[in-house]
Amino acid sequence: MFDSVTNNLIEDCIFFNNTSTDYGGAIYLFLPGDLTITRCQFQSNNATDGSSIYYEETNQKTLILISISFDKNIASENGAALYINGASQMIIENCNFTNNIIQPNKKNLGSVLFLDNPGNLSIASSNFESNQGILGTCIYYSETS
Amino acid sequence: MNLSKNSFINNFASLGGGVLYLNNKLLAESPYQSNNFSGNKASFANDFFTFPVRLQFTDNQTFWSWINKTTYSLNVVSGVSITSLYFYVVDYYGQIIQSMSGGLHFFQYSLLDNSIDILLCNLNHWTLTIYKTLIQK
Repeated sequence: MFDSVTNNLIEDCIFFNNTSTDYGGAIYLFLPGDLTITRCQFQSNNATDGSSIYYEETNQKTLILISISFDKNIASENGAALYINGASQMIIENCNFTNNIIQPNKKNLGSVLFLDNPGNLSIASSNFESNQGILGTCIYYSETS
Repeated sequence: MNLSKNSFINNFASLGGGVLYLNNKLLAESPYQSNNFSGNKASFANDFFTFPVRLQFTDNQTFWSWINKTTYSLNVVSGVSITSLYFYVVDYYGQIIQSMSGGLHFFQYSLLDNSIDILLCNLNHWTLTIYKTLIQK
């Protein structure tokens, strides 16, 4: 868990078979500041929202995800890979999202990437394959402000 | 949102948008370049889904109608008291995204394959005509 720290870096890590009964099965990020995550694997993690990563930020910060694999993660509500709540800039490059699942419930919005006000968002050179969801399986994007 | 050089293959949504769902966002300003879509499935909109469009008059005699046609025309019934007509863009859950009244309106939807379609809406006191819509793919 990162809380009110700046210029964070997470690299070369494996997050496997972790479970949360609420947010962030592998990583819960609350006001983490600028953050880069690179060369990591998230596999078979479970949570209600954000099974691999739950990210919440109210300041003008940047989240960068590069060369990460998300495989076989399961969310009971939203964001089998990522649940993003606020950011000013978000960059996803060269990532693989495979076999992630949202549990079937029509109350869920679903998606592998649940993005609520992610700011300037760029997703490039990434692979989304064999994921299952409810509404917007790969990307659910919402702007509410 | 910028999507470029991504691959979306064999994803499944039990409702809509096998790949992408955009809520509260028109697509006009969003660049999509060189993405691959293949084998995605959903109950509606196999690849992406924005939001459908429906109509509402402003008086108490509300009229909602989903527009599933590429053209749509509606005439106000004679004798119905309506002070003005409004056109609302409403998302899947009924939230109003955009509203307008009177005159001629153009909306441009830039689709994932870079094709462009136009929603041309003519609102006057008595009629509303949508000449062409394409809201899901």
